[in-house]
Amino acid sequence: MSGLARLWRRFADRGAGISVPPMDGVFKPNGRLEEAERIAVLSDVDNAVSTATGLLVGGGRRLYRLASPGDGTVPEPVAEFGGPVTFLAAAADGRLAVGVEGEGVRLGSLDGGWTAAATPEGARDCAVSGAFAPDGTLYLCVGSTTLPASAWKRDLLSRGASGAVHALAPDGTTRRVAGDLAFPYGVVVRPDGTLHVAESWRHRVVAVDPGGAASPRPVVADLPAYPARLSAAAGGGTWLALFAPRRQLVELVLREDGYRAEMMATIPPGEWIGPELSTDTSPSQPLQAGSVRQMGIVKPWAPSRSYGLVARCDAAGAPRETWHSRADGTMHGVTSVVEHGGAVYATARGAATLLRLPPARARRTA
Amino acid sequence: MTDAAEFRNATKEFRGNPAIVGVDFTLRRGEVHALLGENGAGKSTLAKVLAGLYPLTAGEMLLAGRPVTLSSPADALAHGIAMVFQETNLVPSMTVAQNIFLGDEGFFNRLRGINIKAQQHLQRLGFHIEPTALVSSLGAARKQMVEIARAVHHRATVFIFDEPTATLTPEEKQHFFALVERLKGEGASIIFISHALEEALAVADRISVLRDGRLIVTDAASAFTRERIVQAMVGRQLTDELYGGGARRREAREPGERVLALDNVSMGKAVRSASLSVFAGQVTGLFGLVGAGRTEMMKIAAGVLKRDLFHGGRIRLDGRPVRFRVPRQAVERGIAYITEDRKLDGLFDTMSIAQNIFLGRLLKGANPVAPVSMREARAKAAEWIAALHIRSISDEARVVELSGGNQQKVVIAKSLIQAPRLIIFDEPTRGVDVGAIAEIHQTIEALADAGAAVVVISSYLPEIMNLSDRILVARQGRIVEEMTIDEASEEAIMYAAVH
Repeated sequence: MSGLARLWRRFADRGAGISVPPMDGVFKPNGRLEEAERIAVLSDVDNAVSTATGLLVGGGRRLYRLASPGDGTVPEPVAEFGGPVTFLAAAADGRLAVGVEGEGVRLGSLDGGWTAAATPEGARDCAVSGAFAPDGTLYLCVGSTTLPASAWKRDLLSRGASGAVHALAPDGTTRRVAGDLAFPYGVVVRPDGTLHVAESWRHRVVAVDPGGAASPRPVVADLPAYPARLSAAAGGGTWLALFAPRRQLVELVLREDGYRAEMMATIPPGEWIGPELSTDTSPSQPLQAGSVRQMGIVKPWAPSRSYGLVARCDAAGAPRETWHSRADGTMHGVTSVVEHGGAVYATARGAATLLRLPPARARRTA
Repeated sequence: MTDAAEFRNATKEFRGNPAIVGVDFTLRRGEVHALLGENGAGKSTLAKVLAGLYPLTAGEMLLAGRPVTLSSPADALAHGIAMVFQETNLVPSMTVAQNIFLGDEGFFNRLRGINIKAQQHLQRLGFHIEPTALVSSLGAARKQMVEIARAVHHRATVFIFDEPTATLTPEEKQHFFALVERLKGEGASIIFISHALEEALAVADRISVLRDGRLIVTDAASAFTRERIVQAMVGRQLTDELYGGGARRREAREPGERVLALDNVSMGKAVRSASLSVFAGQVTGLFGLVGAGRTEMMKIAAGVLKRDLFHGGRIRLDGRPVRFRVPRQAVERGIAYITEDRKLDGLFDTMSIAQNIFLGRLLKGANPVAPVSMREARAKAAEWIAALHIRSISDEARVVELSGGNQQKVVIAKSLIQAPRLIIFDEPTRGVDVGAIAEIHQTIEALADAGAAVVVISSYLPEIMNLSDRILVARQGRIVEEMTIDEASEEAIMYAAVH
């Protein structure tokens, strides 16, 4: 009977058509990300972390420092690695953790050099986020155990769910905290010690027990975009970067296994139908039957494959305020957002730009 | 010049209960005379006497200065008096053209000829209605238009409009007011009964206010303000209780959990890929013109209507997909849909208040084979009668005997007794007097303050703007705009609804 019920649900689910959650309520589109101050242009800028010595930003293989961002300070290259920087994390005692694709996790400081940390499965190529707990434990998100971080789109189109969260204790031991996650792209340690993890391909943020005893519990589900990195916000909330919108076209492609397999086998990755970090202006990309442009102008409400979105969440994890760059904007593909020196900075990877966000609305602050 | 109609010391009683008492009223030629009052004030009774439905118990009625006693509506029509009723009196199984010419058919009737004449007549009035359409297929607004067209066709010189704009969209209202002006220009006298005070102030030359069957005041419209009318109607000050002059008195409530989400929901041509969210602890206002699909969207959510089986989209309640086959399933999941048509869908009007309210309780989780305790029913009903200030002689009074406002409160109580988490109010104050409007609004606000997710569908912009924490605008079966209360203005909402 349950088999029949499952079959019927599957049938009914397909019959429902393809739907994505609406961008309404808190996610009502605005242009506030386009209005953000553009602090610096950095190639492949991807992540940022606040430290006592300034804002550290990872872009490509390099690590940059901005001592006082926005005051005419030029980003200062402070370190270079053998592969793209995939995450940054800073501990209260000044230690830094850097994820490097192909090299794994590096621990150290800007002055004292770097050492290789113990590398759990997959962390060598796809350690995409990390956060230090007050006790010095580094919680590490491994997006995929089979693919490198740069192949995130392949992981999505392969319906990957091999991601995991690992704990790296100060004594060098590692343990798995949660597994079978669909690209855990962001992690933040909450004041109560629990972890909030952005599970990107399932469009949700889950609460993870740092002891690994309980199963992940959804905090926010049905997000209208793919969540990326999380960071702590003043007042007990969190910041959430969402790097690309969910679209019906992509949802359709994700349903069609045969189509996806053929697409990935025969077409260059840059041409795959899937979420993007930036708007592709190449003529080989279809204009989706005029739904994107009208008389040469990109419609703000068009179903673009890239988008810029940052959300401020309250202490319970519920989004309270959002900053958008719509289809006609350029500040797309925001992969991280962080508070530093009383201001909020976001890395718009699609525009290779470090942004300083306009202030939050006063009455909505948590 | 004699007056078109006049009442002298007119009294009408029903089984000894006076509906109007000693009313002196005149309707001048070529004037628009607004007749205002709370439900049960006697406006409709006065109008119905003039329309030949009831004879007077005492006093006299004069037409063109001569005393008359009208025996029927047909008799009234022969005297040039036509009444357009709140609930239309059309024959639903006949076409628009047939209804317009009903009672005025020739010996030989050629359907094509009737249709052509009806088409010309409708065009002259500016009504975009297909004369061959069946009346049963028309919405409330278009039925009203047909009713008006029929009265105009019968060359009436006195028109009585009973709540003519209650079912019209703002755009259609403009057409209606233009029609009123045209009729007035042609020398017709018009009695305009309405709860919309702004409309009365805008369209009327003179205003009369009735209260408890007595004429309280008659004066030129220019001598009235909104406050003066309300005070005359209710005998107390309600200035800022209602709509507050359009200005918000408070900040919007912060949204809670997303309780309901419609993702690309479709149903035939009425709802086309509509997406919206409803949050706990907020009032979500849903505005749209007639035919925008707003009622249908919410009826789908409440299981009253079914979305398309294929490509009908998804509905999520508390994040979980749901597909209700019958409304009862929605009720059991905490959804209450309070209908826009209480007489058709909301009440058993020959049953008592207590029975009606307790029926709502029986819908949710009650044992279908267990006997119903009438003592419990009365006790539960009494709680809600007190909570919502339902006014009646007793809780055993039949609902049909209540005023519109109190009937609406019974419908609301019938749903709230189910302790729903999501309450959808569809036109909650349509045909409701101003005193009851304030109380219903307070109920809606209290529900949102208590953490419930509330949806208010309304065609009345001040109501939407006053109640809502966020406003959604529907057009052509989908949500086309979302506004915060800071962004919303009547112009902006209407622009989104029309363009």
